[in-house]
Amino acid sequence: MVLRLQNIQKSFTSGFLMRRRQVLHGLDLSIEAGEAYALLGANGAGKSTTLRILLGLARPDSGSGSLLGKPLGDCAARRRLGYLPENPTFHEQLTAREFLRYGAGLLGLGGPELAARIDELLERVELASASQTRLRKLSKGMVQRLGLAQALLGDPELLVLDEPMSGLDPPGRKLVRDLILEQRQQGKTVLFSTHILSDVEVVCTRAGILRDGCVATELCLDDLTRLRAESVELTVSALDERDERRLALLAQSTLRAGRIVHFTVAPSEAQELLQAALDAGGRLESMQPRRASLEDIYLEVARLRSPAAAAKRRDSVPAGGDR
Amino acid sequence: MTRHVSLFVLPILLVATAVAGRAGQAQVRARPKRAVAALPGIPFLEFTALGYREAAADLAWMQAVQYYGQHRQGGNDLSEFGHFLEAVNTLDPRYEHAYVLGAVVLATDGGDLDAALEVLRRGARANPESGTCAFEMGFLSYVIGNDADKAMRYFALAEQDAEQQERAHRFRAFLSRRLGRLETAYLLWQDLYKSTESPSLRIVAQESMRRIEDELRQRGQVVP
Amino acid sequence: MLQRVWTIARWTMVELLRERVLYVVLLFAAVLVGGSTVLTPLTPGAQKKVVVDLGLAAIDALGILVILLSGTSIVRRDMDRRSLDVLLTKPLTRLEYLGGKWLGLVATLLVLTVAMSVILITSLEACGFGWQARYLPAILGSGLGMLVMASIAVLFSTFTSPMLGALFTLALFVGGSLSEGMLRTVGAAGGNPLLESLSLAIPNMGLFNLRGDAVHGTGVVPGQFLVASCYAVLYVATALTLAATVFRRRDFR
Repeated sequence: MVLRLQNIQKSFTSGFLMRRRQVLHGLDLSIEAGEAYALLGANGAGKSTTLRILLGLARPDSGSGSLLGKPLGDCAARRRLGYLPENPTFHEQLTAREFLRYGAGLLGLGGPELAARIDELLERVELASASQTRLRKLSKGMVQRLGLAQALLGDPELLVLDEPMSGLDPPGRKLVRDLILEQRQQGKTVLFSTHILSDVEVVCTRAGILRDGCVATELCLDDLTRLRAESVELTVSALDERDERRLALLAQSTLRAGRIVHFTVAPSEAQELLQAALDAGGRLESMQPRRASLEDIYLEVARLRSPAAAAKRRDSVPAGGDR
Repeated sequence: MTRHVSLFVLPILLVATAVAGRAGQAQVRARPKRAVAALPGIPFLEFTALGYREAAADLAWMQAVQYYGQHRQGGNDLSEFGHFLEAVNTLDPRYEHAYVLGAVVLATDGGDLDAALEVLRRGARANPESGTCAFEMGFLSYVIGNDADKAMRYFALAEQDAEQQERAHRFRAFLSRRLGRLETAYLLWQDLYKSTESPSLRIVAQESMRRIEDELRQRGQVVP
Repeated sequence: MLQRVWTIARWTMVELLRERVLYVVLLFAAVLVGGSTVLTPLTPGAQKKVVVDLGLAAIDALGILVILLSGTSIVRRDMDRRSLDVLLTKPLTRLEYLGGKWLGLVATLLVLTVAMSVILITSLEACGFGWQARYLPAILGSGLGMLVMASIAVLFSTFTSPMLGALFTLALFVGGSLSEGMLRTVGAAGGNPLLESLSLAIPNMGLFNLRGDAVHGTGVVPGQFLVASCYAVLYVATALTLAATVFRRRDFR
């Protein structure tokens, strides 16, 4: 087991009156080697606090845990992990290359291989051209990518990423996703927090939904497939009204705005509707999957897992169907 | 604010501020002169100077000199001069210039030689390795007090400080001749002639020795 | 351990020097040149003393200014920028981190003090006053004072905001500079145990003020310097240990 948290309680005091706020209520979490685990939760659910306790940056009020076979807060274990915090700005006066050399110095890395390793990482996160630029001149996304390179410096066994996709443009998100998949393929363990569901279904082997200060439910690979789009929104232009009425029969709903028509359609019907629209001379403007919210997924998973719902499903759904 | 508006407003503001500044300066100048107000009371000086006592003493010294300059031009009656010098020496007890100026002013403007010598005695106690105050005591004793004997003793004391040695030695040689101790004066000038590195002083010494030789010969005495 | 402390110190210094701290050297040159141009004609007989006093006092005061402006936010800024999270998840103890930060600040102050001293020496020589080796202990004394004040700034930066930290550090500097005179005054009034114990807690900055002896040429007794050095080392060790104790217990959100 790479990491384990057991019955973690954590509260913070704030303000002049030192008001106490409980953030984690008996959180349990365990992750095996080679897993890519997503910690899902709304803002303020305690995702970052959980990661911080795990990394020894915060102390639990009670509970226990281990990280890479050592107790929480152990210095030696940190040599084998890489961490990317949420919304970093880092050392604004250092250049990207200097920042990586700083991190390498603390990991005890050096010698001629270090320069090559830094070049390789800068190349990998597409910052080679900005290697001599000071961090204060880099965009938020670039700093985020640099943070990722820094986390990978020591070739860690465990990669902990706090909201790694936030602040990134679509190519940046793809880069992070690819990196996580790469780590997984190399047998490394990845733990990351996010509130964006689309990140989860592509790269994760398991995910936990954090709610009310504990992992309310865990999604396995099977559950993750359920996170697929509930419906697809197709935007088509250059369709006349007759064709629109004809195509509306296939869609769940239709909305016209000038020359543009928005169709909301079940994922299974999307292909057929798109083909029919193109045949009718329409032009595809955009196609976007619509997903359930985190809350919906949570309720859905809870409903599916409850004994009553399971019994009902057995009665009503013929063999092979899940919904 | 658009660029044009600020271009228009900024010069007006600058001129207005300058005019107000001039008016303010005039008002401050018109206030009755109270030099002492510029320095805090003596017991608080140490506190207000923090650790920078020497630099603060320099500022107090600057004010003391200014105040004396004003007096010379008829601007004040020196009534607060003592406060300034006390301020300098409270902040920096080894500030010799303050003792010297204080003593000179007391002896000349105040006509009180004893008080002046007392100030210098305090200065000498605060600076045991320096002969500056001793030299000034000798100088004032002779110039103001007309007491060459006393002055000789002070100059001999001042000579123990290498920095004052040449100056004090020269005064002792000069006074010895005035007191009619020609042999002593001759030997002192001879010492100076041998030891000094200043060519002009060597000429003065040589000239003095020649004159003393003449005087000794006239008296029928032997040149030492 | 030393390598990690050195790494933190090195990059802390690089960052501080790039943050326009070096402008302090320009400020020093301006104070020295401006001050001596204005003051020397007004202080007949004491021109050289005035330039030396001004130079030595400015080296000391500007060092304290840098500590107040940069030192008191040295840990807090790492927290705000999330650099601290990254550093503390490397194999680095919190004591090593604090030690490195202090050392980085001290190295920056060393660079600044050397630069200011070179300017002072150059201007004394240029004015024909001449630099004398006896001024050196005064600068070294200021350096010892800076070590102590830097450790206090690091201590405050571990648990309070930069503004409050600067305020507390300044209060301790003022208190430390006054403690000698205050004790004398209080001693004359019969002694106040509260004030006396308080004066032991605040740094005795008077001990590091060797400017008077240096300027008047009475010379600094080696024993005096030794006592000041031992006191500085002990005070720094105490302040940093206290900082580490506070910092070890801290949670980072």
